[in-house]
Amino acid sequence: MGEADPLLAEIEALYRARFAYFVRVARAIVGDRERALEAVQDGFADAIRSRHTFRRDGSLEAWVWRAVVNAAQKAARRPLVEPPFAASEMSDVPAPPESGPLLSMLTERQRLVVFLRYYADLEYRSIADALDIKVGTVSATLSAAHAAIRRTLLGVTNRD
Amino acid sequence: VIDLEPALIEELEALSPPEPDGGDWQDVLLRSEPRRMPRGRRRTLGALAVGVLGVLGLGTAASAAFGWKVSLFWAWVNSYPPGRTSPIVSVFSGPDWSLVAWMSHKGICISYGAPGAAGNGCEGTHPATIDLWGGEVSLKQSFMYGTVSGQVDKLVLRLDSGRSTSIPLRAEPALHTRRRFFYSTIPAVPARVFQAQWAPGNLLAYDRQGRLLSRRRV
Repeated sequence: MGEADPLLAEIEALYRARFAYFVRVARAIVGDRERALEAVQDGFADAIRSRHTFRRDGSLEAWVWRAVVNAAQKAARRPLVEPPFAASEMSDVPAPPESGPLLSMLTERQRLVVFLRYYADLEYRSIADALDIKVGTVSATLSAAHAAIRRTLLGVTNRD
Repeated sequence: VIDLEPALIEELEALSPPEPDGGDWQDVLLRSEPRRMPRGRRRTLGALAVGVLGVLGLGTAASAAFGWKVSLFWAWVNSYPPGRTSPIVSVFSGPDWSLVAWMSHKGICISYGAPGAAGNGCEGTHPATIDLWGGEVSLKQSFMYGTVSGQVDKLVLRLDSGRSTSIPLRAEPALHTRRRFFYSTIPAVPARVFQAQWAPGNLLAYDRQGRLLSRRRV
């Protein structure tokens, strides 16, 4: 990589500017910080390796988001296995947080759209590119998510 | 009318709190490189390769003899040990021992071999900040090995005697993990102390800012 590579430089700039946002979304997907950090590193590495396939018909950030979300989803699918050694040492690892009552009502796609909208502050167009869906689907998915959350909140309020 | 935002944001904040800036760009670049075997490890892996070739030969012969599909046999070989998703790399080695590691669906797996001692297993995909895999404390030899999380910048063995030793950390980009490996010998043990269930001190893990991340009694 001795020659100037503008796209690589753009990916690096994105990594440095938005690292914390990527980790937050990844953490929400995989459930713990350590695996989220791994997913972000792997996602960016994947993006670098396949950068020659980036067509610039969408934003670079959305394209990288897709790589990171894929890496996080892949990590989330791997089962957690207890280590064979040093079991007592597990005490210094915080338990992965679980979704609260609102997010647990959502489908996986709704959760992803909500994560990208609220943690990463992405526009609908970028969310659509990142998840490889249409802009209209993003809008509909967010509306459905809000409706599900509203129903949950109303249920809580009515019970009170 | 219910305002969704406060309740939702509160839940999102709890699920994934704000992160500090940072990251490790060099680690990303390392992971993005094509996987190559470092020259220095060839000797140790040579012995492993001879064993694998032997298995291949036997397997191919068996395939021909019994009419099995060779492709199935190759698929098995390529994923052995079961669940392996990375090359097998030699992390540490000495004159008569070696510690090899690979990545699997169960996280990092290792196999440690030495005359009179051996160990193997996988640490899981949710390992501790300091994961002490194994070791031995005896009058003859004392050593330990394991991994630390990617946040650890410095690992120190602080003996109860007051002496401190910094333990080198080794990255293995081919395994596509931010965790790093350590292997350390422990200074000679006085017989008097060893008889009393000797535990020499603590392993201390620090981040780049010098903050203590984890402590483990060894």
